[in-house]
Amino acid sequence: MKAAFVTFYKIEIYCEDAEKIEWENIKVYQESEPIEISILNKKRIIVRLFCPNPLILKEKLILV
Amino acid sequence: MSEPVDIKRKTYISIKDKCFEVPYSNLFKTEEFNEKYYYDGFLGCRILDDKIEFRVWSPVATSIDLVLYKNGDPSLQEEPIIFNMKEKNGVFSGEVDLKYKGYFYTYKVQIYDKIEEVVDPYAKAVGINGLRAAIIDLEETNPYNWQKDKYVKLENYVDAVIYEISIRDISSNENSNIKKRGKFLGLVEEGTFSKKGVTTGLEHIKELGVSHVQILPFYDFHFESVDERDQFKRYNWGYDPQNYNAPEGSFSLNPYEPKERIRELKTMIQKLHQNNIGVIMDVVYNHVYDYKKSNFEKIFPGYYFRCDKFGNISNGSGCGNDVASENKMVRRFIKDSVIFWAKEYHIDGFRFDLLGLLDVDTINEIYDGLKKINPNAIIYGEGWDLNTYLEHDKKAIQMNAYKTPNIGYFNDIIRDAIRGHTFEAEKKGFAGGESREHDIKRGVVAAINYDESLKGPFISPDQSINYASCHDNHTLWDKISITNKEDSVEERVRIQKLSQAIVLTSQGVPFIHLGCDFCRTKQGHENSYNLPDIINSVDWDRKYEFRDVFEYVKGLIKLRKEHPAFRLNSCEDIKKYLKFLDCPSRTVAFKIDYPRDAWKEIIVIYNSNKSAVDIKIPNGVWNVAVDGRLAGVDALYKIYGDKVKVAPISAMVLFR
Repeated sequence: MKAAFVTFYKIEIYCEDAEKIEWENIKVYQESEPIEISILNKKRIIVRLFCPNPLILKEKLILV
Repeated sequence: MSEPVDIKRKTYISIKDKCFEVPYSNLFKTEEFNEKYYYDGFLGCRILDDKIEFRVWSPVATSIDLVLYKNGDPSLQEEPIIFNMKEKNGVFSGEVDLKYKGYFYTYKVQIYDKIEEVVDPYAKAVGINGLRAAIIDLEETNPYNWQKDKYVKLENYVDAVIYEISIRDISSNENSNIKKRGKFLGLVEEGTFSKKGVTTGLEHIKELGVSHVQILPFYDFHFESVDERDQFKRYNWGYDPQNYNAPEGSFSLNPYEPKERIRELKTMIQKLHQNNIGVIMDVVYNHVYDYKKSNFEKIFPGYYFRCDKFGNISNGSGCGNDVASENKMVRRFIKDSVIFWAKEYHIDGFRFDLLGLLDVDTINEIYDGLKKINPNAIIYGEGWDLNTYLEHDKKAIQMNAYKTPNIGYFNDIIRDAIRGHTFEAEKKGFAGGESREHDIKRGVVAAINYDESLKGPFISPDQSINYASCHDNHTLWDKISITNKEDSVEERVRIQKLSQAIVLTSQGVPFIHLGCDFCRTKQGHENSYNLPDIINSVDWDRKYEFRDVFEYVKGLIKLRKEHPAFRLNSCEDIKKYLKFLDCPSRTVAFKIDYPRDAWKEIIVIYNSNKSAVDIKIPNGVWNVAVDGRLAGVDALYKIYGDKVKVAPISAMVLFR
């Protein structure tokens, strides 16, 4: 499993068994402080840090 | 969270019992990041009229302190003076009173949970072993009449004849009779001769007649490679940068005094310029000694070194890291550094180590910047295609040479054709008797697209750096001694001479490795980067032993310099004026009819057969300027008729 920031608001997680992941188990922390996230795409698992900018939601998702 | 991610804090993802860090390296490449943090203002340390100013860029640092010392040597116990720096948008700045001029400084950088003491990447002067930057006025380092020093003139790249030297190797042997052995000033000692009476050092370079010297690294390389306190304790070429903008201290007579090494280096350059010899600096922006210990990584982890999307470090250099030239502030750093050397030290050109690891935009921007201050500047490098995390079309490699029209590349087509495969030691090249005529011809035409048969990556002869050997791999003599071990010394000497004749009569830019003009040996060692001086130093007694080879190479250089037919500076001219002649196996012959040359017709022939061959030529009377024994610009003798007999393993140049 690997992850990368693609914008200041979006993390992509790459894993082979993406569909087995239980979404509620994904948590993101800055140091030890949890931060709010929303899940963009369950197949490719794109975690998006919550952001008020609607343009972010229209970004083309990158294939795993 | 309604704010963007805070890059001053690490981010983790946990999924059930797994928890891992999410690297920022990919984010640092985005336009979004550049828009927010790219900075084009002053960086480093400068002395103003009323204060000394410091600025350093690190958007991830939470705090940076300026640390001042009286001494440049960390082994001396001292209580430093510390000033807190202020941040604005990733740039930390501070200022101190002018009374601290002459002090040394570092930065204490806090990032995530770590505090590291680092040297300013923009440091232009450093103390012993490069462990502290120095606050100096560069004006005070100028030797007498420095303001009158000028870049050497170079109308076209192809007019250059480059000689690759090392400050240490050229003078470290006692038989050089150079007093300041291994030093900047040793390179330019005048009137030096060996006991056997041959010129050494600068006098040798002058006698040979080259236009430029390409000098192995002389920026400050890592102290673990060469300890500046005791230069001759360890040997290293220096391809392991520590402080990019400061000179190496081990070449200085006093590496403890920051201004001294700068003054000595400028004096060296000035003296070379006074002899009309240009200085090409060998620069290694593609990797550092140990990226984890580097100032770059400590100041901004994850930014300066190329990673894949997930933070895995790229290692195309084979040295554990590749510099991420595509990142905008890295590109800026490299550009600033090159321009600084060109402006402050009057460097005439730059040879980029593993240029293929950098990106085409970076090298093109460097060229544009350099040309503004020196229209004669020359830039070239190793355009090897290495396995680095950069898209193929962005790499500054030979195959992308058309994207960098003003940049030269080492031509491995002609190199391997002449000497044989670089990494298969026993494989012969054309000069050693192998049938490699096709690739020799490609080399002769500077690896341009000459016709349907002879094709190459370059779009101009300026781009082809033609060579048979350099500091890497076996010296030409050692390679010949492996490939042609059954041959006599006399035959090997003929191969050496033929090899140099090919380099110096081909179109493009000729490049000669120090001592290749007198059969230099490294005792068979293929990679001598850290071997002792006894292997790397130049043995000047060999110049005496092989003085006919030296005279031959010297004659070829003279020939090239006096006859523009060997320096055609466009593809069109090469196609129009250079034509190949029919000739037997293991020979190459061509005719140049260049109207702007005093010699209206020139024929060049290479014969690598062990027997003499007859070559058909246009009927008439021809003068011979080069044969297997001698080379130069005078007619040695005449030949008559429609064929010429070319001696075994030799080159010939005819004219009329």
